[in-house]
Amino acid sequence: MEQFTKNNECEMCECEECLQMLELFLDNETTLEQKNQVKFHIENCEHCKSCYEAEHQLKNTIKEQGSNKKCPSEIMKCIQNKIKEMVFG
Amino acid sequence: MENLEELIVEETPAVIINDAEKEALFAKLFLPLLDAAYNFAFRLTLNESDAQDLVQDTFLKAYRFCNSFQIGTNAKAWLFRILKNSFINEYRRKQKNPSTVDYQEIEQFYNSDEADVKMTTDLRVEVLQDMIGDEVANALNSLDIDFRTVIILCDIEGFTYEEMSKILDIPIGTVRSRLHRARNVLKEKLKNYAKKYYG
Ligand SMILES: [Zn+2]
Repeated sequence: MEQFTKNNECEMCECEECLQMLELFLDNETTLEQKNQVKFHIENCEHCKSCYEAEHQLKNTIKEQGSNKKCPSEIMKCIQNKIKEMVFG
Repeated sequence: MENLEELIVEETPAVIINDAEKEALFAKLFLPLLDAAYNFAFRLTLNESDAQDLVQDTFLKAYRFCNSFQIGTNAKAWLFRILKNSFINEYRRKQKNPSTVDYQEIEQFYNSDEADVKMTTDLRVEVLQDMIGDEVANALNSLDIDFRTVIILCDIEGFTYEEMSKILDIPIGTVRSRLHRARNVLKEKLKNYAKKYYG
């Protein structure tokens, strides 16, 4: 029983550590060592893996839904014309 | 304007280039960034016409101060810093605050230190996969401007924390904690949304 409790606590520590690094991991801001640690843990822990997948999905959805604005083509012309004015005017 | 002068003092050029060289440099380094800059301008102003003005102002400033750009450094980060400063100086004051009252409490909570320790992770991947419309973009648009900005720079534009720290003139630690808080508020909004529409 004591052994069980101990193991359980240890697992929880690992999860906590993993979840704390998850954001840095997804942003590619971890050290190589931390990166491997997170990778190894999420391969072996269902809970943290599902957290990782949700965060990853969120990041991708933000990118998909938030990068669809294209500059109207006349703006490029405007900028180029104004620069010509600055140079020659 | 202050901010631009600061930028110039900081990055005084070694070479003086003529107009032709300046135009070539500008066309090569900055014009290809027009769509990305426009997207950033739109996400900040949430308005097509303001975004068009802001992006034009930004590019004209970039052209005028091209000499102070150090070749070999990150052109996109340099341009985005000008855009962000122009937005703060000229556009932000006429914007109405888009963050709605019902989320104020949440933002206050996440601005307190206790919130830093935990991580909200109970947003499920299935729920996010159902959000195929503009739900996430709308939630993003409703965030406080400082929160919105870090998410745009990180998740949409892919800047590193160090680049963001230079664009926003804040320490890397602040980038990290602001991003964390911003994401927690965003997740909270999405969870409420999911509860409302998917039960
Ligand atoms: Zn775990």
